[in-house]
Amino acid sequence: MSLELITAIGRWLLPVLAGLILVSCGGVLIRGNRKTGTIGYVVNAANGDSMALRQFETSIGRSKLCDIVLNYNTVSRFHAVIARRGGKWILFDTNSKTGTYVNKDRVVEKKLLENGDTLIFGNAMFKFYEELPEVITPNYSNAYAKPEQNEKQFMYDDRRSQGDIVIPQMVREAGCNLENCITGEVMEIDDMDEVLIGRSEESHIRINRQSVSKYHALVSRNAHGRWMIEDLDSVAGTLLNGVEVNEPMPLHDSDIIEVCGYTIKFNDPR
Amino acid sequence: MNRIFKRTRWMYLLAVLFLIGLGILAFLFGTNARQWVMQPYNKHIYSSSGLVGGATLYDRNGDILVQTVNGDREYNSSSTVRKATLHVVGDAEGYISTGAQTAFASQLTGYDLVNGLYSMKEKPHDLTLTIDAGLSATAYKAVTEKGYEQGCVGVYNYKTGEVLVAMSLPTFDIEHKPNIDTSQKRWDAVYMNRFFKGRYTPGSTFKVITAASALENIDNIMDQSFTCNGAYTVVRGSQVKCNGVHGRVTFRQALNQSCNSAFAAIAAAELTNEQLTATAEEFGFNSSVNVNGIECADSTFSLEDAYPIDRGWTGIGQGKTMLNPCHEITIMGAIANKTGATPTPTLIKRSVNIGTLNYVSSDVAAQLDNLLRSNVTNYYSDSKFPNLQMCGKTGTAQVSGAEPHTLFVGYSQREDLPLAIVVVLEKSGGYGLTNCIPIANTIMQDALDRYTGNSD
Amino acid sequence: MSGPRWIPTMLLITAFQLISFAQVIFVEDGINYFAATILAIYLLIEWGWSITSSFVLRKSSPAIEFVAFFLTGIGLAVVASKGTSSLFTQFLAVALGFALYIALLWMLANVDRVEKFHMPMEVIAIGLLAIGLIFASNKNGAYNWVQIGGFSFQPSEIVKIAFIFVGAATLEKIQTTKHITRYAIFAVICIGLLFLMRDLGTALIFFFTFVVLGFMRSGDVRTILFVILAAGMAAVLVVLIKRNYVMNRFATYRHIWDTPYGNGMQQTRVLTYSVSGGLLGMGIGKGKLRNVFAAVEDLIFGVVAEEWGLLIAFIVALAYIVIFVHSVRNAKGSRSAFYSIASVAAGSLLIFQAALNIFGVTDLLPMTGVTLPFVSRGGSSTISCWGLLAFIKAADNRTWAGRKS
Repeated sequence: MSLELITAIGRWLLPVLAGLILVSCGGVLIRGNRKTGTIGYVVNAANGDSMALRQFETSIGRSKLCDIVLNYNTVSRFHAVIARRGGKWILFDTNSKTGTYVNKDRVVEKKLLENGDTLIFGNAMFKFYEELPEVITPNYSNAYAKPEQNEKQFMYDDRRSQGDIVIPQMVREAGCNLENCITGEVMEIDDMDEVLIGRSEESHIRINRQSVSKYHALVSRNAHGRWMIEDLDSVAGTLLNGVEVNEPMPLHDSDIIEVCGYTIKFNDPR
Repeated sequence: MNRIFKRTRWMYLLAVLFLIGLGILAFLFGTNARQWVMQPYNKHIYSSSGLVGGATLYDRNGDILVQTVNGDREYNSSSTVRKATLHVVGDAEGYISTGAQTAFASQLTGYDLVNGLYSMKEKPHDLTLTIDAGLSATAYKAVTEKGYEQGCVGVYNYKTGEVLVAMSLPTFDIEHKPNIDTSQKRWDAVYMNRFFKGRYTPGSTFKVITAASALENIDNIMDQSFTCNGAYTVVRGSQVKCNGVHGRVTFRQALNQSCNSAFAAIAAAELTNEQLTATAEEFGFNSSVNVNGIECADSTFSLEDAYPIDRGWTGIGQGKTMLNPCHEITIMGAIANKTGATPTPTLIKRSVNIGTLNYVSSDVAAQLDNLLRSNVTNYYSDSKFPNLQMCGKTGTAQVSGAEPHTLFVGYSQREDLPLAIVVVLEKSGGYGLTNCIPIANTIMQDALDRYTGNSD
Repeated sequence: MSGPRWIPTMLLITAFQLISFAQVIFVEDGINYFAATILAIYLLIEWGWSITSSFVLRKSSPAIEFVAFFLTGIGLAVVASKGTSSLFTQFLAVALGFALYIALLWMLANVDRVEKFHMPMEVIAIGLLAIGLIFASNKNGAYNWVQIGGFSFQPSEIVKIAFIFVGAATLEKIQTTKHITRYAIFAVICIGLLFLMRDLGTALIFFFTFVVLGFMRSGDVRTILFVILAAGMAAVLVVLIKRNYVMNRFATYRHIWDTPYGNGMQQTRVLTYSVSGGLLGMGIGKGKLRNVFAAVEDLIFGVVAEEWGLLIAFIVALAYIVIFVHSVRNAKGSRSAFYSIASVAAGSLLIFQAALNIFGVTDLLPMTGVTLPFVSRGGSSTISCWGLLAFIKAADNRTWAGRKS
């Protein structure tokens, strides 16, 4: 009798539970990997063009299939690969005809890279940086291209509810912090390496608005401990002091980060 | 790595294909479930000893036709009843596809897509059939005592649509199933219920249809007379033979005496292919009767591009025409009702919405009723059917290379006995009048006893 | 960073498994203590791993393991209701598979280490298949089983892991063209050996995985089409030479209802019994399909449909989509091309095998006799599935949340 009962209950309960399991696992699993963000730079020594490294492995060559395309005759179609392995940067020469050099040493198969190393592919010379030094100023020429749109965003600013910003940690201390400009909530970031801003649940600063991308912007510390802001290919874009963020940019005290009209202030008391 | 990341986009195609596959599978499960469940190898429903579900089948009087006792399938206690109802009750193994245990398995098992067969074990879904076990046994005895081995008998209530008898021969006692070699002649199509699935050359019984077509299409047919010299000649060397020399006969006499010459003349000379085909199809030829989901064999009729001689043969029931006994009995019902319509036959007691078969105008039906009654009063004689007010028509169907089949179809006009009957005796030789009518009378007398309590 | 958000899901899984295991443990003549013990240990392993990976190893939410736990649990319950002796071997296989999963995760953590294992893997793969071909015993027309002592195993299952391991590569390896040629030769040898073993289903899976790996590495649609075309022509050639053998195998396809007591027996039984259970099923252990040959191996989808209900059967099928989509999503943004390619290949292999099985037993595809990943009984196949799962997990960057990359 009780056996029958177990079966009878199970018949109805098991499909429900199975469905819930699938939904709850599926929800987490289908999200996939978070975007990497920029983890290094290759800068053309000839014209100062900087190219961001956004993946752990970046191929360099003349072929259009490469991540960084170098249109020089002396560069092989698939010339080299820059890879980050276990926290270190490694340059691989992938059977290039003209060879790859790091600080004038020819790369045989692979070589460890240091910040500021000079890389030569064929006769093209590049500098490798984990973080951009201050002297090299990224080209912001197109940042001023849409002033009207910016004005518009500020115009509607006061009507927006700021309560949608969820900042989990609210301890006020003397250290670097991020401040919600309207509510005055403060998020202490000294013990963090990165702060993700976006609509996704795993964001540290979650802005629950459709116009905000899931992974919108990333505030992270570079190798020198300096806080940087970068836009994670968001749809609406990120503004730093009213200027569009195209490249990772250093944060200074009282800088205003703006994401779709929501303003966050960066405070650095030191 | 960007290139590699971008390639991953194509991989979603696989997931889409997989989903499409699952969609197709779900659709197939949904649409074919009933058919797949009722496979004879399904051990949930059938086992070597019978329906595991244990549902009981009753006849119309509450007698048990089959039940499950201690896990075994047990049939009616009378061997005669078992043989007489074999094809209606069916077997647990599903050999007899029109048997109730197979055809109505979904009703018996209570299958539904949500619970599957799960609920079957708890409460058997018993079923009461319209079959009369006693009357079926009478039919079985009446036929087999005369030594006939193959054929069928059907009895049908033309007011309610209930089928009381659907007996088919050859048969066997399912409690003592013999070794059956279906290649032997005596077991020819033993698993087929001939009443539902059989097809016979109608012989003279088809003259009813020809007569109906004549009534519909020829204004003065009742006043016409025909001369029978023993054959009807279309052109020299091409003639339809008659069973006798009837001389000068009226239309009514021609039907009473089953005069081939007259009916061949009517069909060949006075009706067109289109007219005869229209009447036949009006009467349900070329479409099949559906008895609670059991699809009967369809009666077939074709006169496409036929010459007058073909039409002559067809008019007396010896052409390419084939007739299903269950269909035939509904034609009788439509005439007996004098409305041209009759309820669709049913095997399940208390079925609702069984539907109606509309064949012909009430005017024609009433005239046919009158004609069929005169067949008995003028020719077969009421003494063959005491107290029954029978109407009907016999037939003899020539079969190539064997003795002819004999048939009788008819019905009682009594208000308290609204039953139609069909008797088919295969390869019996002789005539419907001598072979079938005594059998039909025995069965109808028994029915009279059972349902009116008076046989005076 | 990720809080114990996995706990509610794990509780759902535990509830699901307690209810389903109860139907197996409580039998008419009392309690099956042996099954109870084994299944309790299985639950402990699940919780043990979830807690360890979350709190000790500080890895991200073990959601992908949860899907595998869910599927494995169904398989174990079915096997347990079939008989206790096979439950023990199946449980052993699950434990071994899980150990392999952890071992592979460790091995895959470091790409340089992976490179070192490249050559040994090639040797192991071809060696295993060659041993298989030499010592294999014939089971149901295929020479794919090797008997050692009391244990028998299918080399081809284990080789699946090596096949992907060898086939995936880091970006710099991909850019050296010598590498792909070498892999193509390796693949042809593997698939050829499988054909000689007459293990058609597995050969098909390997070929499909080879195509996926090739596409992921080169992105060259024309080459892939060329390879498929060449394989198709080779297949036609085989059909022409060995016409009778091939025809016999595929004669039943789409004609199962012609021979429900002959070659169409397995598929017709699967269809009939699947719908017999309805959406909610007959109850675990109450089915009839389990008495048909290879019921808990090849036909297990039908057993689940009949006993657990069509709803759960379709949820099981959807679980493969979740695993697959996850494997593809992970491929984006992983720490190396190796992880991306391996993840996609493993995910594709699993969903392809699931498709061959599910659509094979239901006659939408020809039946090739492959197992249903994670659910079917079978030691080698269970171990192999868990091994493959490691490739998918490895591509998930959150797996390595504890370490600074």
